[in-house]
Amino acid sequence: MGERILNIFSLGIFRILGGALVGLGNLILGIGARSIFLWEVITKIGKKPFELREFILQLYLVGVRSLAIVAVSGFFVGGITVLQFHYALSLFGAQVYLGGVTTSGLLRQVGPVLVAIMITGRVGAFISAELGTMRASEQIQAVRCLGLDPVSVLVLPRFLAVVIMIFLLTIVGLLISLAGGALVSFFLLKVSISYYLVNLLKLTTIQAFLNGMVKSLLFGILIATISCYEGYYSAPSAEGVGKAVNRTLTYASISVFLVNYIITAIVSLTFTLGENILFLSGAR
Amino acid sequence: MIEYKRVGKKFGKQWVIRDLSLKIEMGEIFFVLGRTGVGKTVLIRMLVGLLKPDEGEVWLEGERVELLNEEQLRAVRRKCGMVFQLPTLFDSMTVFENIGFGMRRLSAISEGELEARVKRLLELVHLDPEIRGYMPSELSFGMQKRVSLARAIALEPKYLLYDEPTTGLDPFTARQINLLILELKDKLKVTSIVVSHDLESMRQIADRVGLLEAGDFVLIASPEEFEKSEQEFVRRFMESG
Repeated sequence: MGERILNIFSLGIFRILGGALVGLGNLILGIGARSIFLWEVITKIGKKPFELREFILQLYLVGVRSLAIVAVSGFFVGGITVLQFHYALSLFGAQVYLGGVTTSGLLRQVGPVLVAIMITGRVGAFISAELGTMRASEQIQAVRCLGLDPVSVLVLPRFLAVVIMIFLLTIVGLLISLAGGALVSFFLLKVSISYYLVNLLKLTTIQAFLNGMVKSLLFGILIATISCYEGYYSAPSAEGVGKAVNRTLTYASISVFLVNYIITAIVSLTFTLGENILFLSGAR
Repeated sequence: MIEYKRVGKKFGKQWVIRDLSLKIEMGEIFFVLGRTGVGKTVLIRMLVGLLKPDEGEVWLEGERVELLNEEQLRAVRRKCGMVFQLPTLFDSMTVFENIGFGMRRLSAISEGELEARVKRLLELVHLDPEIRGYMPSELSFGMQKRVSLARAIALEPKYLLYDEPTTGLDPFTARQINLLILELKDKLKVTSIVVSHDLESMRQIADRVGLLEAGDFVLIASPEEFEKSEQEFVRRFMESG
């Protein structure tokens, strides 16, 4: 009896281990496939003919059409961040630092992640559905049959537009969120704008800005790769397109948070190590 | 010239085409007849490298298509115009942009020349050039098929591959499309492969016809010989049509 229970137990363990290994294998294969796709897209940059008209159209669709939603959400996120930090700082009587602390947080974390998630939902899903429908209705095959490369013609303009526009929208979103924060702190919390701005400039470094910009660039590449890949290789059916959109939203959101965490951890670790080295060597 | 040598193609474990050989002469209209799902479309897709055979060789103008890489295949595809079963027009583009899609990218053509060429192509497929600003969704199914034909011939291919060109069309429009296929053969001197199960189309346009069943041709003959054939499967197919 005991042996039997042990057998069942071990079988269960092996099944779980086997399942985990298969899952890990699929994850590595999935990342590999998307990396190869990204490389294929990158190698097409600069090759003729470049789809200038399509590129400009995509810049408009991704950038201009997303401007309002990024501006509105940026404004409110700036306001909410100020409200939250104000409460915490007021416990220590340090409200004057409100501008500096909130801006640093917005530049490094909230701004780039917010814009990336907004674009994933608004543009990533759209691109994925569009390319998926083109696959299902054989428009991609039609492009190939005309002797053209569908990656150059259809994917590259969308990819570049998403990367460039996420970068620019992050800057716009950040500026508006800073304005939102300043206005909320002035009108609701009665913190003077001059205090807000003085501490903003004192506590916010250029590194914080660069940190946010590097993140937005990486998020752009991630979202563009995932949305184009899922759409381009979706199963040629209505269900396939639906699943492609679903995967785009899930994978892109998870990737953004994961990469954000990794970069933050690396920056934080190198900063601490650097400070320690400088302290120990007496260079300060 | 087009040649299939002992070609086989399987999906999973199921062989759809097996040990099939065929030669198509320049300038002829070869009509591939067969039931749904016997691999008619597979045959023309292998010719332009959209599918690779699992066995045998596919030749087009002295080149083994299945051995070519994607870059080399693009050159082969430019020699072949493909008309899909569904019109496959780019739905975010106008008729003008659809027809000019390949020309704009593959030939150094000015906007004025492109305009004139699209107009000529629309006239060639018997459509009013005024529709060039229309979106595909504003056209009937038959008109969309004609536009897709105009797009396929825009790059002046030597071979035209039609996948079920009359499926989903009423008899009158189907007859017009058949006449158009004949007209294009005469005017453009193209070699055509037409894949269909439409016996009436076969009678109207085929120079030679092949009946595909269980992975290979049961019979390859002229339409007249085909109609007179005493083979049991051919008789049954003709009676069912």
